[in-house]
Amino acid sequence: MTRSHFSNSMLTLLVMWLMLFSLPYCGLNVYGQTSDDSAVFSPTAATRLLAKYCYDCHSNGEANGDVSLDTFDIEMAGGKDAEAWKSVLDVINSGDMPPEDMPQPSDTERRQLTRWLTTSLQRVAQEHEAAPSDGVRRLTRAQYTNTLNDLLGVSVNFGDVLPEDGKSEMGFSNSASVLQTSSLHVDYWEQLARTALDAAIKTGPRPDALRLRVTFGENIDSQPDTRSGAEIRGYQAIPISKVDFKVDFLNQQGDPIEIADPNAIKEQLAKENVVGIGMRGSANDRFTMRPEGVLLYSAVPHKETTPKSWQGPSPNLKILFRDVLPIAGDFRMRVEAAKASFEEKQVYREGFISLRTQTPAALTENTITFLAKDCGSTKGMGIDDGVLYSTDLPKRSAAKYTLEVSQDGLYQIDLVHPWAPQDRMPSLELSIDRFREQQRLNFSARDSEKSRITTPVTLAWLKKGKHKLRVGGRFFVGFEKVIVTPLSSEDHVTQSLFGEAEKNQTKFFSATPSLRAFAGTRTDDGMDYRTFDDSKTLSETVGEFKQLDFVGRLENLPMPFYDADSADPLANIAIFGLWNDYLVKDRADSGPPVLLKSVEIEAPWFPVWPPKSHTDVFFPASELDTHVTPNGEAYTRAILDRFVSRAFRRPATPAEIDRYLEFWKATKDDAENYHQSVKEVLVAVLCSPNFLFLVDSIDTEEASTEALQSQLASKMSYFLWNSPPDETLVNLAREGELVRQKVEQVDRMLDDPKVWRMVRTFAREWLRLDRHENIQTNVQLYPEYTRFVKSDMAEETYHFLHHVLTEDRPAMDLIDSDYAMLNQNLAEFYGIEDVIGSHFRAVSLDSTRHRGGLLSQGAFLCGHSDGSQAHPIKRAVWLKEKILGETPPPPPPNVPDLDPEKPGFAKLTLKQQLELHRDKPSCLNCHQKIDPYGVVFQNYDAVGRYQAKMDGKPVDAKSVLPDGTEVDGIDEMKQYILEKKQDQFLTALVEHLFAWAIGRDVRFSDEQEIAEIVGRVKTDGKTLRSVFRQIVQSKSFSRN
Amino acid sequence: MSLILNRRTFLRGAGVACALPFLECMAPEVAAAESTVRPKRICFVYFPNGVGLPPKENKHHQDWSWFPSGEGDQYKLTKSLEALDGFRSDVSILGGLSHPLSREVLGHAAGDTWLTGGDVRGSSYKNRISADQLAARTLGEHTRFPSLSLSTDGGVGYKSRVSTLSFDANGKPVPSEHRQREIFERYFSLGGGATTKERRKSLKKKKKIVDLILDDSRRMKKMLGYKDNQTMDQYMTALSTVEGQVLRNEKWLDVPMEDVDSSNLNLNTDVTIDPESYIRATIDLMVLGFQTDLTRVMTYMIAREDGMGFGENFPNLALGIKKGHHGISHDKAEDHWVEWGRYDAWLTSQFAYLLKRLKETRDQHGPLLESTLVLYGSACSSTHNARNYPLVLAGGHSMGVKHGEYHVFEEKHTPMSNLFVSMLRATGVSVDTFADSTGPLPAIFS
Repeated sequence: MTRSHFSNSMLTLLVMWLMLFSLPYCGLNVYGQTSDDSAVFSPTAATRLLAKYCYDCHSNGEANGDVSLDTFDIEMAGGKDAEAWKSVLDVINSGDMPPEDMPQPSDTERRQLTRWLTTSLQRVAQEHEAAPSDGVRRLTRAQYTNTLNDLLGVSVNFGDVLPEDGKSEMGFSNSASVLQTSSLHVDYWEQLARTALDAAIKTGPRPDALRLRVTFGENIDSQPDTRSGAEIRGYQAIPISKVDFKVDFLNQQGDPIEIADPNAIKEQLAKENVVGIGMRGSANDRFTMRPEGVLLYSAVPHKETTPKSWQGPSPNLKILFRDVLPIAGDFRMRVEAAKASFEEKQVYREGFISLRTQTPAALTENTITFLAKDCGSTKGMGIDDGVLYSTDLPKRSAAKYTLEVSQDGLYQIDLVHPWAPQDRMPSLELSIDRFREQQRLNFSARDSEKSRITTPVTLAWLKKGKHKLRVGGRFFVGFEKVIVTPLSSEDHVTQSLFGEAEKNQTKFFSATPSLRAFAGTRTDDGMDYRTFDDSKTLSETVGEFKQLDFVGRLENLPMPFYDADSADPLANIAIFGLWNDYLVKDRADSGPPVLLKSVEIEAPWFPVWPPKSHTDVFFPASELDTHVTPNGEAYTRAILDRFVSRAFRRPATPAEIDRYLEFWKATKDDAENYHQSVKEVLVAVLCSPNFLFLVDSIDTEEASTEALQSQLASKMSYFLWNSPPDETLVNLAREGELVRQKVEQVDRMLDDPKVWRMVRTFAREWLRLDRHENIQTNVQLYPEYTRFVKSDMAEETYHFLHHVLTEDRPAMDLIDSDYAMLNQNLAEFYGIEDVIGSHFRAVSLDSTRHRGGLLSQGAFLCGHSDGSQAHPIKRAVWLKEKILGETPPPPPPNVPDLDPEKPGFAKLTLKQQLELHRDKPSCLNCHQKIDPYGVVFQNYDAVGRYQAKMDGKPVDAKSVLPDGTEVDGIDEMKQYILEKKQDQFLTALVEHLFAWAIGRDVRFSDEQEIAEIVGRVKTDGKTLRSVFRQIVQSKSFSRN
Repeated sequence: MSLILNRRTFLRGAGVACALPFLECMAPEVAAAESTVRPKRICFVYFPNGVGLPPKENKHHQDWSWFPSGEGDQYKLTKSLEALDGFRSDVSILGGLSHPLSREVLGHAAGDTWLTGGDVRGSSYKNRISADQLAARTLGEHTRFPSLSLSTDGGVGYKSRVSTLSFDANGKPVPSEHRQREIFERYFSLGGGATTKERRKSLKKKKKIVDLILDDSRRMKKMLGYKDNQTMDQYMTALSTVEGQVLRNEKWLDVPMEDVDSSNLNLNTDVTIDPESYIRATIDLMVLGFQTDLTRVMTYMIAREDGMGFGENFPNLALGIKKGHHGISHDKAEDHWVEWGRYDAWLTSQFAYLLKRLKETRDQHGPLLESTLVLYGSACSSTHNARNYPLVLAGGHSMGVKHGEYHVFEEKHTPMSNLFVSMLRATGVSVDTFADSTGPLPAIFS
């Protein structure tokens, strides 16, 4: 019956396919076919089989798993639907389809169908191979920035303003299919080219920089006539007094500007009075003024609640500038600081001490109570039912008392007050003499029922005598009583405070503090800020001052919107700041304190003039072989030749240079000067597709060796560095040596710091670290999960990949390793001791820590939770897709919710809840292949910590995988992968790196090549490095 | 004219199959033809600090709660919105809308995101393009100026306390203008002045570069050697679109300004003495701008959040109320509901003046209000509560908008951005999403 459908030519073709069957390169062994089944098969026969076993669920409008077989082109004309048929073939081969409980095809039928599908797909693969791809794709945002930065020698995140790139199905942004170009891109590229060239090309004399120095010290600026500096206020501001710091504007040599004329001094001071020092966000007892500087304890990160978490950790020091900073350019912040001594016991100095616990003091006979109704001196307040309240909420109100203290000692101050709704912004401000504490109150749901709430405000060490006590502030919540309780020396609070000083001295005696710099803008409740440069360590010798330079770029930091007309006192305020980066988590810990003597800012900062970026473009005419007139045609030609070749990442053709030179001649008279005239041409160069697009495959017949090898250099550098080729690669390409030295170059490139650019982008996209960035974690449940922990977790994954790569570790380290990359902050969060310092390093761990490999890392675990608890399905899909290379089908639309009302539901473990979920027959099919992979992660909570017990019960992380293997928890899962699924993991790893390297998602037609690469990796040491080496040498990558 | 034809032939002849959609607009004959198409306009007006919402049990609720009582077309206005009584068929009152990302930002900072839906929570300020600027990208192709951003205070303010409603594609604020005489001189008077010369120069530069790049692209395509190259074609289409924009901008430099009658404009008002005259003069300028088709996109921030700027004093100057606007909003005294309500009513009457002027002013197609979509409102329901924004949508009858009802939306299902999606579509801007929208608004728009 089937024969009659064939014409003679079809028959010939079919015989040819049958012959091709036996040729080894078809790789048929992959599908386990034998060649003695000679039954001839046709599309009609295939359709009949499919109708018999598959159409019930997958045709005529029934589209289970989104698959409608009757809509697929069975002939795969022109490759249509080939990917879909490949998936069909896979599920038939694996026995997944038809489902176990449905009628199964006979062995013969199964073989016929799979063979027919296989050969059809082979045919399509070959056709596809002959038709090459587009051969060109544009730079991604990140690549654009890296390319401009390397080309011009200017480190600004130019690409940040470009529209975000899409992501391919495998998750990559450098994939040709998602790299669209719109007129918006064109407009942006032109503007960015101008901005970038303006930043690189600097004619004229060196511009005057803003240079100023702030020097700190108790009473250092005591003379009122010549006092500099300002005290910038605003919500919850904690300004440092003007007498405790001095502002000097410096001349270009770095010396304070001397002014003799007293009137000019006043003018100068008015300029200097735009600089203030703020400590907002800092607890009173974590910083203090000393004669030689300001003392900063280790920073304690705030719990992530508003507004304190927006104000920086406690303590942090901010230099606030109004209006004076330039908006662009490199800048340098030079800091002089030392490790400070512990001599002075904080506890004996007058002042406020932050509470160690949130419990109101027990009333004693010595408690002093101030009643609102007895207050003799109020401002902006009215009384009602024994409560003093503010009559004009936004304005500052005050109730004043005199506190008489009979002896030196420690006191706790509590406030008894009514409840208020959040949109009233209930706050309080308490001051005793010059000490002040400000708080925004956050009430729980239960508090709204209470008529009175007692809030502990602060501890204080007070000397004997009379003190002025004030309570009130803006948005004051009102009060009924202020309670001042003396704490006896036997009181446990007193004991522990006294003990603290001793404990801190011992604990941190040999610790060395470091400093972290940040910059940004003041906002009403906090600041919009970012850290820059690295954390820098001070000298370990107490009192030995060290000069630290922090360097950054203003365009890359969240500087204010400058509004020249604005009269707002709080507008245009830029911030440069520091904190003691030896982070601690306990408010009782001082950490090793830092004594900060001075901070000097220079902006814009040019180490040489003209800057190197300028002389790289406009190199001296003397460098050329022949004598040329400066700024003449020949000189311009030479400049263009060098620039265009570097920009286009290949030698420029003489015809190209001619065209650009013509352009220069036609436009140069409109320009202000010679450099600007050349700049206009360079703008055009940076808008050319030769700059903006990566060329994958130029016509090999016509191209020179140099052009071809330049193309390879580009491919290698964008693969391994996400950046353009460097001089070494360019030279090798020019000499025609690159192909021969490919492998050595790969090794050199992997050891270059630029590999970080690739590691960060690739890891983020492969492992979906964007989910970690965007997850909203419930900080009420996990108060220790601060923003520092969150960012350290991402760093852990990046450092881990970098380590496995550069230390030539086995690829299987990614599944399980006997070490983890940690810093002190993250190690403490995970419960691992003895890791000191904020830099990341490999820490040896045994398996009892459950921290080895990618599967145990916080960034993955947190990102794949729901913010409050673990999410086994998200984790399962990640494991299957990213690690094992088997993407599960997506859920159907309108998945019904689990019924939480079902009695006893809440008492079930999550695993049991999931089992209920899977119980519906329509869900079971997919989920029994997904869920088991996620249950093994159940020991890790929503913030990635390993728990043996949750809610008092031991965690049930036992699973039965689809192939029948039982695994109990993450360790057995890792073992399972290492023992049974190594090849599968290696294949997934190679696939993802391959997709990244080639710039397109993997297609089924790549299957054979991928398998070959995996094979070679196994003989090349099976390290992560070997994967990179083998991909570079693969046919699809090198093509030559 | 001949220049245009040359360009077209040049590109076609190079074997580039790309569309050149906008070049036709440049020909004067076609510009006339364009005027038969009724323009679509969009306009946003903002006031700060929310509105008075005395609780149901309070005796002032009936008179001075801003939102109407009842629902649908049977709603009953309170005194706060009384001034809209004569405009029932021209307005829709919207309740329940807010931006999810701004619900926790402690009130006043929500003003930064009223038109953007951006994320300004915490210590990382990430704002986005505002709805008006997005509209300007499309509507700006038809007018001399793409948009006009106005305010009483001018400039940009600062992060978390901005003094402008408009934000560009990078989330940076667009400075607003507030000096009425300067606005008139810059936008309405003949000549143009020095800026025209600068513009002409920079447009010439851009044209030359686009030419060079197109040349490069052709050669590159040839070098790649394939018949069909989707990537390169897409790129060249983008280039030609940009070229079209450049040519259009250049043409506007040659089109003379319309002679406008400014005799009834009072540009000598003093906002510190008579705020009503000041605000109405700004409104007159806006109406004039629409009438002369100067632009089709406008925003006006009547006053700034948190007691900043001139607006804080308006209750005192206009109504003799002792406290400032921000002060009233935080007041707890019993009669502060009356004071707040009276001030809300005063603001409503300024908005009603805008509606009246748009209704009585016509272009060749009819009353301006019919072809202008206006949104009036704030970014807090009552102070510090950045939910349930008080909003009134007006106008746009010829743009498929049906008025006459009070709609209450459910916060959980309808983010404010859905309103912007519908407004943008009604204005002819094709958008799938805007910020965190989940779809169009399920009412009002056809």
